[in-house]
Order: sequence, then C-alpha cells, then structure tokens
Amino acid sequence: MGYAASIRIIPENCRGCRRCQVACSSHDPGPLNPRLAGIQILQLEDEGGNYPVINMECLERFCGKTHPRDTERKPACVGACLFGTLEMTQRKDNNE
Amino acid sequence: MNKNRKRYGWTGTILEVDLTRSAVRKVDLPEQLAYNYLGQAGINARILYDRVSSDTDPLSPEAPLIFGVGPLGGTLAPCSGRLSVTFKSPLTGIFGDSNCGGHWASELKMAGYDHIVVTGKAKHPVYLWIDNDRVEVRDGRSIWGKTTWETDELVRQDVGERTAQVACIGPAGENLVRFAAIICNKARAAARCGPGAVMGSKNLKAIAVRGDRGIYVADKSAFSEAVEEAVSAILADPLYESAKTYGTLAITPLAQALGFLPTRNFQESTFEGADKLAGEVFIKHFATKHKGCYNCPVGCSRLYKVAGGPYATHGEGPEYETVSALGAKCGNDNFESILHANTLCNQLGMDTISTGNTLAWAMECHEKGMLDETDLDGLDLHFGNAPAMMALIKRIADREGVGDVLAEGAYRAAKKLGGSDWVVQSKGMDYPAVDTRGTKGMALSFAVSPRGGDHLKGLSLYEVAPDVYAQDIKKETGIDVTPQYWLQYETKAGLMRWHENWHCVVDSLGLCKLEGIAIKPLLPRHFQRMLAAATGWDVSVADLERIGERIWNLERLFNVREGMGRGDDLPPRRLLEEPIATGPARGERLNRESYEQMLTEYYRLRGWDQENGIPTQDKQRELGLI
Repeated sequence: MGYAASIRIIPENCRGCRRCQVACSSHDPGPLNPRLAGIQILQLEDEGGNYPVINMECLERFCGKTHPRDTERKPACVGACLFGTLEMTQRKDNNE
Repeated sequence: MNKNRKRYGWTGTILEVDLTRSAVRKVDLPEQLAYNYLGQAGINARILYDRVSSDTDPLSPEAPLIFGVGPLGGTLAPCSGRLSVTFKSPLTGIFGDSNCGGHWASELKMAGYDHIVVTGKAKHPVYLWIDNDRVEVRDGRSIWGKTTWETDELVRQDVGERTAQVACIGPAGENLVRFAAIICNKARAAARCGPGAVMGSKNLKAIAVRGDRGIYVADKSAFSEAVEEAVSAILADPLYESAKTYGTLAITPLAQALGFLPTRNFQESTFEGADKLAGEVFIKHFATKHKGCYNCPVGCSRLYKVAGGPYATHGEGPEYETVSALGAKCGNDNFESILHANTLCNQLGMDTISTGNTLAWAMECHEKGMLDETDLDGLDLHFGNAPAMMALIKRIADREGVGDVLAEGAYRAAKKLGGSDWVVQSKGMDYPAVDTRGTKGMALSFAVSPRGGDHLKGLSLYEVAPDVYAQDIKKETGIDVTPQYWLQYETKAGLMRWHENWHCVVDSLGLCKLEGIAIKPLLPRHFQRMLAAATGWDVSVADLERIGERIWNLERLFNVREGMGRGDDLPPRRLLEEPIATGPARGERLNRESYEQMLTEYYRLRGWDQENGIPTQDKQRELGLI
C-alpha cells in the first residue's frame, strides 16, 4: 500500500470567506462563480459556523490547478486559504 | 452597454423594481454611466441625484432605494464583497448611503446584476426573490414583524434555497426608526443614514438572491497578476496580523492612548474602563471563531458567545465603532452587555453607532436633570446602566414609550425634548467614535462628509499614524508630516481631499476600504491595474482620481440642492467650545478660527465657492457635471 498527496480540512479554522472556491473557479474557463468550485462551504445555522466540504475526486486526484506562487504541487484551493483550514497531507492509496 | 459585447467586470444590467405596480424590468447599464461613475456607490449616487428632488420625502413611495455592486465586486480581487445602498436619508434629509460586506453583493453579481433600483410601495409586506433571470415579488406578510435572523432563515426556507443570500430589515425598519439598518447574512449591516427605514416604508421586508451565472474579466492572466500584487501588498502590511486577529477592535487601545475615545457622550476622550473593552479581552473570553467576508484575505470579523448570565447571547462582530458606541460613549464597561446589545441591534436591524449615540445623549440629559425617570418610562438612565440600555434598544425598535421619540435619533429628539447642545452631530448625523478635537483633519472630514457626521467617507489612517506612513503620504500627496501631525491644521485640507477622492473610488469599485485606502496596503496603482485588466478599459490613475472627485462633487451638489451651506460644515458645538478635560489630549479643542481657515483652504482646493462651498460652474464643467 502506497501514499498519495491529499487535502486535509480543519473546519475550526474556516472563516467562510470562500477564497478557496473563488481560486478553484477562477482556474476554469468560463465565468467565475464560487458555486462552480470543487469545494463548497456549508453554513451551519445555529451559531453561523462555516464547514468546508470537498468533492471526493479533488481528494483522490490532483486537479492540476496550481497557483503560480506555490512551488510545491498544491491545488489552488489550498494555496488560497490563508487561515489554515486546508492543508496538504498524505493518505493511504488503496489502489496500490 | 452594448448587448453584442461580452460584459467584463460589470454585468451590464440594472434591475428596476416598482413595488406599487409589482413590476420588474431589466435595463442595460449605460456605458457612459459606468465610465463616469464606475459602479456601486458612484453609479448609485448618480441615479439618486437624477431621480429625487429637494421636495422628495425620504420615506415616500417615489424615493428610490438603490443597491449597487462595483465592477470588481465578486471577482478574484481581494475584499470584493462590498455592497452600497444609496437613498435620501430619513435621518438627515440629505444624501444618504451605507455600505456593508458579507456575501450578498457578490451573489447579486453572480445572478447577473450590477444595481437594483427599488421604487414605489407594495400594498402589503413583500419580499423580492431574485433567482438568476427570474425575479419575483413574493408575499411577505407572514415574515413581517420577525427579526432579521428569523427572516433570513424563513425566506430561505420559503424560496427552497438554503444557499440563497438574504438582505433584510428587522422590526426597526418596519417601524421606520430613522437609523434602521439593512442586514445581510444576519450581521453585516448597511446601517448609517437609516436605509432600513426606507426599505420598511416600501413594505419590502427582504431581498433574497441566488446567482449561478458568474463574472467574466477581459484579460484573465493580467487580472490574476494584478490581483496577486494586491494580495501580496495586503499580506505584507505591518497591520495585517493585527487586523486578521482583532479586526477593528485593535483601534480601542490606540484611541485610549492618544485620547480620542469618546466617553460619556463626548464629555471626555479617555475611558477608565477601556482596558476591559480591548480586543484581547474579547478574543480570550468571547470569540468562538473568526469570520470573513467574500474573498477576503484578512477575515477581520469574529463569531462570539456569552454563555450565561443576564447577557447570554451569540452573534457576529462587534466592530470598534459598536464597542465604543454602546461602551465608552455610554460609560458602559461591561463587554457582555455590549455583545448582547450588538446582537439585539443586528436582530432588530438598527445602526449601532446612532443607537449608542442616542442613548448616550439621553444619558447626559438624565445626568443633567433634563430627562427624569418619568420621561424615561421609569428607567434610571445613568451612564453605565447596561440593563436600562437593553430595555431602551427594544423600545426604540418597537417605538414604544420613550422609544418612540428616541427612534427619531438624538438630533430630532432634542428638538422635541431639549438638550440640543449635547447632541454631537453634523447635518443631523451622529458622530462616530473618534473625538476629533485632537485630530484636526478628521474634524474637517467628519464635518464636510456628504452624509453628515461620518468617519468613512474621508477616513485617514495617514493622519493618526504618520510615522508608519510618512513615505506613502509624501509620495501620494506631496505632504511632509511633522511630529504629532494629527494635532496640526496645516496641510489637512489637501490630505483629506486626497482621501475623499480615493474613498469614492474604492466604494465604487466593489472593494473594502479597510484594506483599501483607509488602512493603506492598497494604493491607487493597485486599483487601476485591477480595474483595467478586469474590464479591458484603458484607464489611468489620474482618470480614477478624477472619477472620485466627480462622485464627491455630485454628492455635494445633492446637498447644495437640499439647502446645505458653509454653516453645515462646522463641527458640533461641544468639539468647538469645550476643551478635552482629561487624558493625553487634555486641553485640545477645535479653534474656530483655525478650523474656518482649514475649511476655506479646503473649499479653495475643491474649486468650491467660499461662501457656501458650492462647486463652481467651472469645476462642474471640468468634471462633466453640467
């Protein structure tokens, strides 16, 4: 069994700014809209907390949307988060 | 805008809503309007100017309520979640606008609109549902009377779209409290000048929006580069970490140290309880999580919770202005009560600044024996009486008992009850939390602001932190700062003029001015590069400043039409006549003669006549206003 790069979500740090969504969507051709991003932020109603949820395929396969500033292979959503909500991590790769 | 051309930056569409006829119409945004006034606050101001007269009652059906997002709003540009609402103010009777962050403005862009112009009055309470192209005026009778928090949830349930964004009013707006707010996302308040009352007068409870379309920019790669440059400047700013952690609460200790923290209705300018109201106290005891507006690299807002006791509550905020208004100005050092009051104001939909000032004024009237307990529904309204404050906030929103007259705001209430000398206002609008007896430039900008006593139209960090920004000040304005620069009158007219012009630009682009001109990291070249790349418009820095100047002059002309003149550009009596008695700014007051000289110089630099500050024909021609 091998390891592959993946994304770890730390929801306590999420400020709900949607910079991750904006960064993801801006890499696609067509208009910018955070609703089109592979990551979405759920709004938890009671005390207004924000909870990011990411597409399974974003976790399983690198999307290739790298920010020019980042030297490592890092998706745009992770690069855009300035509050420590999204981190690169290693996950067990079941395919091997 | 040309229908055959793809729209970049702007969506190119204005939504007109006539509530009397329950009719909506989509209109093309005229290209020249966009090039002359940019968007958001600027275009709003032009539409308002053209559609009202001095006879228009701010709460009449014909008075328009205009929502606007800028050409950079909702884009990749940092801090691009701002909304401007523009209207004739029910508080002041003159030009009114208000601005807030959150996620509503960007959603409106995604739905395909730059502006909404609401006129008329619905026969019964309604709300507006903008689902991309489909716009419906819906029955709002069942949500009338609900708080903004309840409304936010009920409207999203009713439209069946949990991710819709909602802007709404609370009971205060319905009851035409003259400083009622429009609240987005439960806590982002467009509140100053009373837009909530205008919305209430139209029987419009809420506007919900969902946008699945999106925004195009002209040159994606140049735009990304310009955005990257702007984001880097924000991240490199010396104040970034502080803003990210404490937000505007970082200002409280600075205000106390320099002696500009208005206390007990501006009777003093330092507060013995200031330590208890510091950002550190808030973060340690009450903050549960940080929060940010749309696409903001700072995320200066916070969620809070008071777990138990008489002030148990939760919510989002508060800003420095709120803590000062409901704290120091009212002589109240109980942070829990301030948080409780902040949540109440957001739920009821009221401006925390005017609420705090009105209470503080009533407290001084009580202290001086002018209002006794029989006038105040049996409440002992001494400074620092937090439980009485909570009771009055609710009474104001419901216009119950003495709340009915306080809902008119301190300026009008004093005309009825007496105590006008203690109302700290310009043009009828209550002063924010800077004692400008010490900061002479801000004294000018607060007093000449087109919306009355206001800190945001000309806000200058350059003035109070000259050491940090000396190089930028020199480069941008040519001014050499001196030690204790804030205390001097000289060069302030020019400094404020520069700030005002650029604030007009930032407020019209769709960006937040906290990270813009106010707290400095973004400079004119950043705005120019981002706008040019986003829209494909060959615009220069000089063009932009000229647009800012045009907007400023237009807002001035609006007020000239309402009969405002030089006498209305003076600071409140207290700041001119009573020196600061205690603290580091002790002895400071505004010298009438020096202030008048500064005002004269300001009119000269602006190209306005000396007598009443009216933009001259030459100036108006130069700016294309006639």
